[in-house]
Amino acid sequence: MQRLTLLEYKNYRYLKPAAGLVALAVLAYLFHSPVLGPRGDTWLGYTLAVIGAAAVFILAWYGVVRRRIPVLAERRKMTPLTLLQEKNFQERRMNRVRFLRRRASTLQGWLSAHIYLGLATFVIVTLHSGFHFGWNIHTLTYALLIGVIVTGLYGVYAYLRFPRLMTDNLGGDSMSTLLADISELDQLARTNALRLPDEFDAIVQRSSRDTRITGGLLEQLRGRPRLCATRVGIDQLQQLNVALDPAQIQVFRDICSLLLRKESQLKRVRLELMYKSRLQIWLHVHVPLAIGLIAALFAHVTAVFFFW
Amino acid sequence: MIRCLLIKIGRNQRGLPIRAERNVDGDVLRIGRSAECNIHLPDHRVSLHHAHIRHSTDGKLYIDSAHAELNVDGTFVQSAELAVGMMIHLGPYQFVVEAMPQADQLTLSYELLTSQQLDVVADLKNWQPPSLHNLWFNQRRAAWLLVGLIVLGFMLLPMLQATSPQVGAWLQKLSVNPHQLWSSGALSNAHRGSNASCMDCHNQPFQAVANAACLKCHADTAVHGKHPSQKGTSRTNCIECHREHQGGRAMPNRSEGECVRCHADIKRFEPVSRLPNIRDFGHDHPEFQLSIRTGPNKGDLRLFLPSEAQPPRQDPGLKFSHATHIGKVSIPWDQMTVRELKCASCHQPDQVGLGTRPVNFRQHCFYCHQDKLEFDPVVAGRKLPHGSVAELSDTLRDYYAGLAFGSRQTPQWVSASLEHAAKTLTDEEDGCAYCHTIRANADPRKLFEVATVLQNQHWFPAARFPHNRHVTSKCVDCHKITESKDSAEIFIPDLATCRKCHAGMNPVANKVSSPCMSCHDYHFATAKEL
Repeated sequence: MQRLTLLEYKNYRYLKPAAGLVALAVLAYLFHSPVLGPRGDTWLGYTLAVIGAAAVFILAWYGVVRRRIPVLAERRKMTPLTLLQEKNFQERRMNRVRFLRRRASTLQGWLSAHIYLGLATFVIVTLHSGFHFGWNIHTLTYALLIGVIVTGLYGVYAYLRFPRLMTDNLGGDSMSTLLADISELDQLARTNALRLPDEFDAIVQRSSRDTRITGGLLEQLRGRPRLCATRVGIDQLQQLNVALDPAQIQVFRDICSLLLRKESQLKRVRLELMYKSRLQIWLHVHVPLAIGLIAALFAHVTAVFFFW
Repeated sequence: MIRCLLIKIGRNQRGLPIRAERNVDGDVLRIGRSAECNIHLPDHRVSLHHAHIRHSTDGKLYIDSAHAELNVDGTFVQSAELAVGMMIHLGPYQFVVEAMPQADQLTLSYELLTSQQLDVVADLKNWQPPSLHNLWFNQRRAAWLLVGLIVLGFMLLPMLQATSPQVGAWLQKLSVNPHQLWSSGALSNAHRGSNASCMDCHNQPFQAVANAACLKCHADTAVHGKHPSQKGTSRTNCIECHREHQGGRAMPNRSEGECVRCHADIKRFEPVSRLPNIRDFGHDHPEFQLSIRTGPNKGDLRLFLPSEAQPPRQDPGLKFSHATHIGKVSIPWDQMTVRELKCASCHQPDQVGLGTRPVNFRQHCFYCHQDKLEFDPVVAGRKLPHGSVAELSDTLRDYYAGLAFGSRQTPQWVSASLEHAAKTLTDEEDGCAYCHTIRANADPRKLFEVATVLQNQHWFPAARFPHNRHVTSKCVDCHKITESKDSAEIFIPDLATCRKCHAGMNPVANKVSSPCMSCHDYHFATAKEL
C-alpha cells in the first residue's frame, strides 16, 4: 500500500509542520496592516520572501536527492568489503532487497515532505505577493511557481490514481502477453479470411495492415487513436452485402469475434500506454518549470535590489 | 480427365530447392485461394478462383483466367495454351510447365517467390511504445530554453540597459524598454513623464533612491524641524515616507505612524528640543498650546501653557458679547426690525475652507451699528468714517471749521465743539467706545486713541483644522460661545473635545482614526508666518 503512505507518510509527519507554517503566515498576514497595504517589501513581506525562497530551494533539492540517494546508499552499503562478505547468492539478494527497501522509504519521506512543503510554499508566496500582479518578472516568477505546483499536484493525483487503474486494466496479463495475444488473433483472422470472397479478405487484410497500437505523444495521452483500423474493419465487414454459403457464414462469424476480441485487447494495451504516459508527462513540464523558476527567482531578487 | 503431377518447390536454409510432388486429377484443374480448388494457393494475393486448366476441344491443355490477372511469359493474357517451358505468374506464385515424363500427364512446378505476409508476431515483439525521453523537446532542452530566456530577457538585458549607455541607446532606438519588466508597479502621475528613465531616480545600482535624486526637482521642499542645526539637512530619507510604484494618481504617503519613531522620545534625537513626547493622539498627546496674540506686531505671541491656572484670555481691544449676537436680535437703531444672527453671519469660511475670514466692520457690523458713527444730533444721518482715528479727527475738524466759517464763530467755539464731539464719541453708550477700548491720546492730530483690534487667525500654527471637513457638526458643539459676554474669553476647543470623535492610530468604535498627519504636516511643521 505504498500509494496511501505517500500522503499519510508516518502519520502525516510533514503535513503538520507545513500546516503550522501556513497558519502562522496567514495569521501574521491578517494582523499585519502596513499603511500602504500588504506588499512584498514590508517586514512581513521580506520574511515571507526568505521563507518562500528557502522552500523553493529545498523543494528543488528533492530533484538532486532523487538521483543521489541510490548512489549514496549503494556506496555506503556496497563497499568492496561487503561485496567480499557476500558469500553466496542468498546473502547478496538479501542485501539488495534491504537496500531497495531503505531507498524507497527514504525517498518516500522526501516525496511526502516535498508535496506538503510545495503546497505551503504556494500560500506563503501568495501572501508575499500581497496580491499585486502585473506584467513583470515578479509575477512571472509567481506564475512559474503556480505552474510547478499545479503540475506537481497532477503528479500526486497520477501517482495515487493511475497505478490502481493500471492493475485493474491489465489484470493477470502483462504487456507482452497482450501483444502476443493480439498478434495471434490477427493471424487467425487473416488465415480464416482466406476462405472468404475477396471483398471480405481485402477488408481483413487492410484492417490488419493498418492497425497501429499507438501513434505520437498526443495519441498516447488520449489513450485511443482517432480511427482504429480494426474497428473500421469490423464495421465494414458487417456492412458488406454479399451472399455467403453456410460454411462461409460460420467463418465470417469466427472472423468477427476474433476481430472484436482483438479490438478489446488493443484497447487494454492503449489504456496501459495512456496511464504510463500520463504518469510520465507531467514531470516533463514540472522539472523544466522548476528550473525556470529558480532562474526567475534570481532575476526577481536582482530586479528588486538593483533598483532598490 | 486431366492428370497432373504438381511439384511444390520450397527452399531449405541454404536456399537450395526442395521438390515435393503430388498428383492432382480432375476434369478441370482449378487454381485459387479457395479450399475447393485443386491447386490451393493460400495467399491473399491470389484470388478465390484465380484460374483453371482445361482440355480444349482439340485435346490441348489451356489455362484460362477467371476474372483475375494471368501473366504468361511476361504478358497478361486471358487464356493460353500450355507448352513445356512456359512460365505463368499467379500473384506471388511462379508456375513452370515442365517436360512431361508421361505422355498424358501434365507436370507443373510452382514456387512462392515473394513472401510478403505481415509477420505481426515479430513486429509486435519488437514494438516499443514511443518514449517520452526521445522527444526532441525533452526536459533538459525545455529547462535550458526557459532558463536562457529568463536570464537573458529578464535579468541581463535590463541590467545592461542600466549600466551600458550603448545598449541603452540601442534599446531606445528600437523603442524597447526591458526595465518595464522589472517595474513593481505603475509610477505616480507626476513622475510618469514620457522621458522618465529608471536611472533618473535609481542613480546607483543596488542602492536605495537617495534624497539628492528627489531634491533635483523638489529643491524648495521645506525641511522638517526648526532647530538651526537641522537647517538644510533632513534626518530622514524621502523614500521612507513617499513610496513610488504604487500605481497611478498621487504618490501615496506612508508617513502615518512614522512620526512616533522620533517623537515618542524626541530628546534622544534632538536634545535641544522643547517638545513633549507624543505617542498617539488617542492616549498620549499633550494638551493643546494656544498661541495668544499680545500685540499687533509679528511675533507678539504668547504660548498658553496647559499648566497655567487661569483659563486662557486674549484681549482683542474690543467689547463684544457673543451671547447678544446670536439668535434673533433687534437692530439698535430700529427696535422694530429683528434679524436672526448665526455664527456664519460674521464668521465666513475662507476660500480653501480650512478656517474663517477675519470679521470685517463694513461687512458684518456696519448695518446694525451705523448709528454709532453719527456724531451730531443736529445733522442726523451724517456718519463719520470708520477705520482711522486720524481721518475721523480731520473730518470732524473740517466740519466744525466749516460751521464756524459760515456762522462767524470763534476758533474757541470750534475747539469746544470738537471736545464735545470727542466726548460724545468716546461715551460708553453711544460712540466708538460702544465697541472699542479708548486709550489715552499721544498724537495731537487725533482727538482720541482707539486700541488696536486683535483678531487671531492661527491659534495652532503647527497644526491645521479643516473646518470644511467638520460641516456635519454645529459650531457650538466645539465653540461654547452662547453664554459668553466677555470678548477676551477664548473658545478654542481643548483636547478632550477633539477626542470625543477622534481616536488615535488604532481604530476605536464610533471614532475616527486620526494619525498625526490628520492635523500636522511634516514638511511645514515649523510655525506659519504670523
